[in-house]
Amino acid sequence: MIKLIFLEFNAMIKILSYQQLCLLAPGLLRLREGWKIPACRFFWMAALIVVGSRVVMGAGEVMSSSRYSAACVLFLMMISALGVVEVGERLHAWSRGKIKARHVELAILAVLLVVTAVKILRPSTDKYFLKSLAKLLSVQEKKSPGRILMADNTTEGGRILYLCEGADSSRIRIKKLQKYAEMNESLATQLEQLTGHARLKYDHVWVLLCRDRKQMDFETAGRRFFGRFLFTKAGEISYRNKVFEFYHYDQAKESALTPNTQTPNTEPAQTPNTAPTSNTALKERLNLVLPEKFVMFPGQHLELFFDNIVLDPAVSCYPVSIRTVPGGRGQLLSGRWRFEAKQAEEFEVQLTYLNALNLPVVSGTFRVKVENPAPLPKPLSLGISGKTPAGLENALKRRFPGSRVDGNLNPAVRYDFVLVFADQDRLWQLDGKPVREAARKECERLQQMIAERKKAFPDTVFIVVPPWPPGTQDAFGKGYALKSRWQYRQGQHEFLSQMMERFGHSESEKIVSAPYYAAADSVQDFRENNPILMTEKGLNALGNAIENAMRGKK
Amino acid sequence: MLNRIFKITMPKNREWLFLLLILGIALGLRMLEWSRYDILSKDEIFYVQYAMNWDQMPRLVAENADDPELVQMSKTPFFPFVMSCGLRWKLSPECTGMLISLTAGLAMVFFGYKIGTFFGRTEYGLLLAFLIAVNPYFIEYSVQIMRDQVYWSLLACCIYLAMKELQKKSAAAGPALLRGLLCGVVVALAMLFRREGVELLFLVLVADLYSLRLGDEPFRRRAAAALSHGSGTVLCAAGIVGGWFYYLASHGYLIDGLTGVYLQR
Repeated sequence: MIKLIFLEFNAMIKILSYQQLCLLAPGLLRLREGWKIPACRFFWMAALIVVGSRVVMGAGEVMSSSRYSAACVLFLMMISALGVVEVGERLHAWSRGKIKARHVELAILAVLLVVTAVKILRPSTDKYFLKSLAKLLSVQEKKSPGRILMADNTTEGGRILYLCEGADSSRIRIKKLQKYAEMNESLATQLEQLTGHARLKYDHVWVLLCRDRKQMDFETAGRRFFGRFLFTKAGEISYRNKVFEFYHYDQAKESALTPNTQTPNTEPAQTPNTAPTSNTALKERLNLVLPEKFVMFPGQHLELFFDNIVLDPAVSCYPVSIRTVPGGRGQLLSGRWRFEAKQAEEFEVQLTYLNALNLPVVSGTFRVKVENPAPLPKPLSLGISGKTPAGLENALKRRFPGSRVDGNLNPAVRYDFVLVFADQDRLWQLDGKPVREAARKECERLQQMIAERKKAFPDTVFIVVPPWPPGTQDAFGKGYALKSRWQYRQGQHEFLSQMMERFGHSESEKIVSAPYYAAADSVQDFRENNPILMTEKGLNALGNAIENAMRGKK
Repeated sequence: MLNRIFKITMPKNREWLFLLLILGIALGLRMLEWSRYDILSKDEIFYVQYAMNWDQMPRLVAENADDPELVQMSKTPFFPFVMSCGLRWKLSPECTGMLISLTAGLAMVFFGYKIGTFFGRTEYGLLLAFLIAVNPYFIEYSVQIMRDQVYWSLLACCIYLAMKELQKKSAAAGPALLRGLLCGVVVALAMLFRREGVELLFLVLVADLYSLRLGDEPFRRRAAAALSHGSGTVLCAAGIVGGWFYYLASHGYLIDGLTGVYLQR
């Protein structure tokens, strides 16, 4: 109880400005003023009642809301008012009438007025921050129209609704968040660079990367009000006649600033040397999975789709920088990198996902090896382990006329190659389970299976085909209404990541990977009404990847 | 009407001018703050959202039932309701909310003045009004779309009315009932804006009890006046609050007090 009373007074004193606080002491000397008047006695009774009710009712809420305590400040102000008169009269008496009490009172009031005016005119830190944010918003808009960065200063880190130019200005929360400032120092630095405001030290500027499923959907558009923008919808708002998307901030992971559109950049981008440390979590989440190398033959072309190799629903937010060594290879297009192989060569490709400040978030390298195709054994015997996409067997038979393609491995046959597919059906079952653990178990099962097969077929080359991303969301809507593409994609990518980790670099063990996943065209490689079933083009692309792996190995 | 109940006497010209000056300063500072206050806070946005979507409010709250803060804010939906009423006169909820807060902020200055004058010198009233007028905290909340400033003003008003009741010269039951009704309106509004407004009812009843000890008139007459005032306050407050809850219940806005989930019609 004593603590609550202390907290209550502490809150009240915070509300009362320091100048008025100074007047409390002389005011206390004058508390007996009007004591004989019943109404005045009741006034102090009311003070006890109001303060008491706050102490009793506001247990636990005293510190969280100064507004709750503000009702009590009226009584303290009355004491301050008494204090003004007391000071005036004391000074009057002390100066033996030279100083008029009224003049002292007026001087005190003038000081209070000036201090208040200065307080109003001086930008408070959080307002300053929010203004900076608004400025940043406009800068961001110019740089990459379509998506803006978002601020969130709630400790729960949840709702975008607070944000934009109408970001939360609650001082208490900002104070609470200062403890995270150190963690996000680099982000604050980035913002400073962008906004030019050195005071931008708060940590609650975030880019929200995951959609908030619990967002408040008010179904109204944003609009302007008294020269300010009032956004009214969490998932999508209008700002300066443009629609922006918002994402839920995942507090456990730090974010970077992400513009909406990636700028096609055919010039090799200069990769900055220093990566911000705050991107570690983001890097983990993106989980970039690149093959060690792509084997190609002259006349073929490779299209590397960026959203296939990282996992993020907002992957299109990240501009991608591609740098080839030696340079000048390939073409960076919207959402993909395209390379046409013309002659035998080998080069390295450095791929970097950038944030809005052009700082690297995650990067990786792979090699592209263009070589003249090695002849395949004739007749070719091909075994398949695992569940293949519908139509692949026939497509392989057409591709390699006269070859033997067994859907089930026959121990009596000496296979030149065995294709190992991850069981796509199992990806469906990952939903609702810890994805990483399930993928690990599945990979272990696959590894064990390959080890057993290798004993049975010691001279055979195993070509592992990691799972590839499915078709478009629309296709999911028709064929698999109960599951979203994103759900499937999470399982698939985790599976892919672990498979590439295990089999992506094991050529010496006669195990090679066919990285079709990176080149899978989610629009054209799959049927319109089914995200899993492949079109002829898709089967052809998958066949190319398999053939390249076979010829590259031989 | 008010004159009849309280026989309100205007201050002498000089004090009146001082009060006007203080109110002018208060208004000026608040307008200055308004001009600088160009960002809506989260709570304000919630209120505006609720007001703009008053018809859909039960759904919105039900959909966000997992957010205690949102549910808490929606448990006293009178403020959004008042803001939504502004839409009928083509006033945006933001504008209505700000005007409410601004008016309440100025009203608090006025009631501060009235309370201060009870201390024997008009000077105290002017000083208290000035201190309220220049307090940065109150200035800030006077231009925010929040119900807090309204509540503080109602608190000041209620204290003033209770003090006024204690200063009455005659313990006539009839006028006391009318004054009680007025008190009841203030208490009811406070309860509608914030749940802790119930403390104002307690304040008024304490004042009534205290008034039993005051005055030279016979105890029975004083008791009748106090009873009239108290019962008038309670009945009026109960009537208004009850009516409001009836409205909420009949329109599907009634809240389950324990879970905070709206009960659909």
